[in-house]
Amino acid sequence: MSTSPAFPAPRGDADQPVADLSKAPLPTERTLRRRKNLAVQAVRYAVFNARMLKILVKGD
Amino acid sequence: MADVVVLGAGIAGHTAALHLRRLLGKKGEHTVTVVSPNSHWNWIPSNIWVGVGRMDRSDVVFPLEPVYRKKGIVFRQAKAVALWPEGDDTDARGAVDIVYTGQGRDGEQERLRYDYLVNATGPRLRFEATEGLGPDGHTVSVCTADHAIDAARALAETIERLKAGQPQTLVVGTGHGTCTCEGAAFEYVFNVDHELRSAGVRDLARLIYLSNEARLGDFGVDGMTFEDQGFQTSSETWTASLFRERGVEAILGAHVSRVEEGLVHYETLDGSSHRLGFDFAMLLPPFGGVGLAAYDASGNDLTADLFAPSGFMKVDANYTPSSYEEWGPEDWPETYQVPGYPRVFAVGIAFAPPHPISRPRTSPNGTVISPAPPRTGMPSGVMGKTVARTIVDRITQGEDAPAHRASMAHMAAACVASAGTGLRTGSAASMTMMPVVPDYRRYPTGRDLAHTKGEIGLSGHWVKLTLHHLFLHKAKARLGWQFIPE
Repeated sequence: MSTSPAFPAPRGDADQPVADLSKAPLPTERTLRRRKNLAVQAVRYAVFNARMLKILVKGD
Repeated sequence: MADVVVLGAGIAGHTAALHLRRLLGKKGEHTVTVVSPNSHWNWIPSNIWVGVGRMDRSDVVFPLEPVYRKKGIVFRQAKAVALWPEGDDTDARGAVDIVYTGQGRDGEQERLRYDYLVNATGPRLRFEATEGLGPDGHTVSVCTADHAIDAARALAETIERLKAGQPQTLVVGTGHGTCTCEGAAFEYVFNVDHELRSAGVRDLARLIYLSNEARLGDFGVDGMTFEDQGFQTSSETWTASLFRERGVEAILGAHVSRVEEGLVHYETLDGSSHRLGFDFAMLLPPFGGVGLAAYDASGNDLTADLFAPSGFMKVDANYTPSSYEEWGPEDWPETYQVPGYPRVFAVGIAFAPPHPISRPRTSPNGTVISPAPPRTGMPSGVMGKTVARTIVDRITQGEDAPAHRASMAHMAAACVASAGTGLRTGSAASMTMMPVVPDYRRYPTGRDLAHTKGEIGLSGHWVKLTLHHLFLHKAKARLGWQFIPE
């Protein structure tokens, strides 16, 4: 837990028990580009749909 | 001739009714009747987009009656109030009491006889569990299309204030320690983030995710473990990355105890109490059963036998109290048949889960702060179809026909959590998991790593949009609907 930076709030406590996410990994620039790249995402779209169909058959 | 009555027209009930009619034959001697207090069907997952003003109400709802007329399903716009599973003193067949809410018969009561009953009544939105919560209180919701319209209006007003240079605090999450559907709150907070960025006002907004989950990425299913580039990673790490990247703060393990105008009171798992000011708050309510009563043929009350204290219906699950360490996949129901009443089934949110999926947690003050298990969407549809197949077999082959099975401990599920709209600017966190209920005896991580995956990107938005159109097509029973999987 960490204390969040002060931010104007209408009412309430100044400090909130905000989770400490400072150790969470940040995506690299390359990852962020991949997440928006139309060609890469078209492939991911096909892969995810195939995966959904596969788990439907296997898990039913 | 057999009469099948389905209570509820959500994902589970509507799916069951369509498959019952298809498998029994449209012009057969059997009847399929749907009882729902709502005149419209709602694709609830897209309420998130209504709630940020990216879709209209008409994009996510459609009238049920024309679909049922076309398919030969009888529709009663009414709410079920009481079950008579052993019949009554005039007829040994089971019956259900309904009270009309539309079709020009408002308030009129009727006792419907059935040979088979499917209870798919869904949840009662228990805003009253938290003082000041909900549209009649001080927060908005996206649980219904109408609620989502109000949420979009409130969000637009907040954005206008931001554009005028006034800093705003926006809170999105769960409004009680026992809520479910954390995935919906997760989706909404990132859609709000997306809207704030699109409006160019993100720097003036403090965006807080307030959740009953003890850890990010729990989603009421005890979190997930994924394989990523040769390493195992958790849904906690994965979602925490998204929160950090987007600058969304998270307050976890929180039970909202009271809401005032602009102020949320909440307790955290360490037992401490806090007050959080807000200018905009979308907090989900806890769910309960719809409050059906049940009677035997003599009129003696059976409600406590058929229903759990939560109001959800008991089915073929193991309801013996036990600890988290003792829980097993075999506790979860397979046939959704009500014990002692082989012609009554409960599916979707209406069935009582044997216990949570996430580790149960209580604060030192005794407050339960633990997500309830999700059983919406894909699992609901699968349950509806499974029960429909069982009923059809028993009608056509005899009452000894074995029940079809679909346990959440074997079933897979896909969850696509939108993180912003737009064909080129959208994003989503897409997950598949198998099984929904983890099985630590079969899999070291609880789930099959070959089928439990997560990814973030624009393609997830396309998947969610595809599912929106596919499921509306299916729910409208248009050409080829039966080939679209649940």
